[in-house]
Amino acid sequence: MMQQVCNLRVRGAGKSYGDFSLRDVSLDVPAGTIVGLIGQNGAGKTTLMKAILGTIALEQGSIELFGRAMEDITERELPEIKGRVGYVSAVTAYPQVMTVREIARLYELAYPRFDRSAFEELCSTLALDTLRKPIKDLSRGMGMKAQLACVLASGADFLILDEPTAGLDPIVRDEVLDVLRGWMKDEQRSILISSHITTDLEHLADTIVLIDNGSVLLNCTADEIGAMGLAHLRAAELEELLADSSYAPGSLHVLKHELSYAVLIPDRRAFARAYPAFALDPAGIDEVMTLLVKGEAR
Amino acid sequence: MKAILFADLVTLKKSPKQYLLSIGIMCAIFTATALFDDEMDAEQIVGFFQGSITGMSTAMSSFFAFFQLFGMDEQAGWQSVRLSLPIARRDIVVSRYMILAAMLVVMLAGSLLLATALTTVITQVAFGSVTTMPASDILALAIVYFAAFLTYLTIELPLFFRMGLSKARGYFTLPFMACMLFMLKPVQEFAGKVGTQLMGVVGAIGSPWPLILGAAAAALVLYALSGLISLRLYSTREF
Repeated sequence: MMQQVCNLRVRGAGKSYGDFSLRDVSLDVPAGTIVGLIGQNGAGKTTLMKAILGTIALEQGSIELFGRAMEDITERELPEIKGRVGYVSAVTAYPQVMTVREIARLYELAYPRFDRSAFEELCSTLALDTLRKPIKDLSRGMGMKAQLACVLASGADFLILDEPTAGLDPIVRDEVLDVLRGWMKDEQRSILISSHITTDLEHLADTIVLIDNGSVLLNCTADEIGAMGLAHLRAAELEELLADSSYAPGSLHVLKHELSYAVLIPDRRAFARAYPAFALDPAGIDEVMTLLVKGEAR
Repeated sequence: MKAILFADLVTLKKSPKQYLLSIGIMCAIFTATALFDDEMDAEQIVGFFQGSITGMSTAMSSFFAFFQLFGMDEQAGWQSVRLSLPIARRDIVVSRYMILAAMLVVMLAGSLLLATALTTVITQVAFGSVTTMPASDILALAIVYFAAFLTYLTIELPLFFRMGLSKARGYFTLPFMACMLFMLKPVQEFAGKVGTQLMGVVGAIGSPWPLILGAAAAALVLYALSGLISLRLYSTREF
């Protein structure tokens, strides 16, 4: 069987910092897909992204970019392989005295496949009319647009986006998401995106990876999440459900509320057929994350 | 490497106002001192200006460039984002060493020109005739200053590459503190002996140039070694 083409492959990644450690994290970002990385603050998302970008070194495990192990990439190969990776950070982390036009020139010098006309077109699409302004004078939205215009014109096939929509107003957020959707029309491209705005991921991501306390708690497709449900049960209903042998012990995540129990149901339709009288809603990414992180596996 | 050189040069180009102002104030103070001190003759003024203004102006502008560049690295997380670009860590270190050495040469040349221009004007105003330092003395002075400042960068750069500006700035005065050792009598005696021996060597050779050029060559070799140490330290630094 032919192996799926992966722009990013992480296997058993581990890294320790004082009282925090990233443990045995594995994930794939195949070409043509968007993988959403979710988790609480301090869960390990940024640490993982830093390891992928090469700003920190893993203590265990490996990372492959476009099929090449990162530790094997020579300086000669670096422009070619890292030239296919674009990074957008939560803040506009460029030299603050440089203008947007100068940052674009910097990208042009750094990325062998930078496309100047694509940059001009993106500036026009994003209504980025502040090319002569220094980065320090840009608003949050304009800073994000500047980053996107530079990174998307860089010729990268794989984007790493760290909270790209945080702090943006809804209009700019929609513009950013539209541009990303448009960029993904080429099936060789892929995105790893972390965000606390899970509605963005619901509209964008093909796969969701939940990291908590340094470990992967969930790695499933958006369709699998779409099939999940959130049951609101009384104590007796919960007992009845737990006694059901079709649910293996530990497969249900239960969170106690004041008057009821919230239960994460892996297959909403099957559950609705089996328990038509029980209260059941579709589960969004927020609910899945809350139940998996705070709930008790029963 | 072009991308990093470009970012560094644009950053330096953007903020010359503050240090030009500082150098202007310093020149004004020095000029006033020279014009109002009746006991200084033309040659003393020339020596004072060429020595002090060249040294201080070069020091001020070089330190300014140094802090400007390492400060930029830490602004808003640029040093981390920079590594996400297709740029090798080696290029970051090499380009910073190149740009600081080049800046030193440019600043030194500028400072010498400034000092020469000022001495020309002041001696003309104060004594009615122009007195300047012989070109060979100016060149010797430039080379000695170049070697001294390069040695300073040699010591500081590995610390800044390993720790960054926030942590390493505490060590910025380290070479100055080392100079304070000369206040100790045994060190003074030792330095005096070395000085006497050097003068003996100069006397034996008949010219100071072999020593001056030797010092410059040694400074360049140490600077290159410092670069290798920085490369090693920076290759494992995490952000």
